[in-house]
Amino acid sequence: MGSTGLNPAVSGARYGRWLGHLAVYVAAVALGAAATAFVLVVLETGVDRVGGGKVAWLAVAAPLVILAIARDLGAHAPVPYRNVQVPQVLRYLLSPTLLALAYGAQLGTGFLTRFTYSTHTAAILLLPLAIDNPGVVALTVAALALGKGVVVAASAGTISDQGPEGIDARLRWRPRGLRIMRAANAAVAALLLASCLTTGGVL
Amino acid sequence: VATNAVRSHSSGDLALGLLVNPYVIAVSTAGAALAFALRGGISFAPLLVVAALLAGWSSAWSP
Repeated sequence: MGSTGLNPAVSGARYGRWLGHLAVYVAAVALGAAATAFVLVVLETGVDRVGGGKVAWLAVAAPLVILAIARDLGAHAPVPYRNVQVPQVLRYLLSPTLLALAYGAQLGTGFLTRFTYSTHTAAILLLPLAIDNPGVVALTVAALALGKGVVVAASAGTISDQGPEGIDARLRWRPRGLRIMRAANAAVAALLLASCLTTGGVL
Repeated sequence: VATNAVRSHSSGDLALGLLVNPYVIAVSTAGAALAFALRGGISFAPLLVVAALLAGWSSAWSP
């Protein structure tokens, strides 16, 4: 939710300017995710070259995805990322454009902040298995960036420059919303993992 | 950082609220994933894209 610090108030109440910041943010998320994907693809290729193949990569990734799913389902499972959010202090140190760039790159990279739900862990860790189809990799990175961009777009019209507080009015049913999000993310992450184990998957 | 206030536009609140509505997010993404799974077996590529979309979109609801 730190990204909602990019609301229109921060951009000086000018929507044209804010849309520019939103575009910078989405592009930065995509760049951050692409950077992470690049690192993971290099690692997966290394595993492949030493004879491990995709099965070996899946043997490492699957337990981490399962832990993230368990966490979505309420278990206190360890997860492979830092349990911190983007630094709020940047909102006071950087210009809106640089703030959009910094938040986007950090949230897109993912491992620098907490992955909110298991779908993020699953999509990023299983992305190298799709490297034979660069179009799918590009679409995946774009989908993540688009999704995060939608969240920031929803802050349009908010009156606060205090980030999350501005959008809270649109998140009125918090406990139920969190339960729904956890269930939906766990289900989709489990489906994605299952797809790797079926004949229609990557194995 | 500029801090000018922006007036809230109530007419757009409903539409913007829908962008982060948990049912809208869950039904559109989990529903799409389920549809992909039911239609042609559990196919990896479309599920990967849907999972990434949900990962980004659901970040509105931070635990």
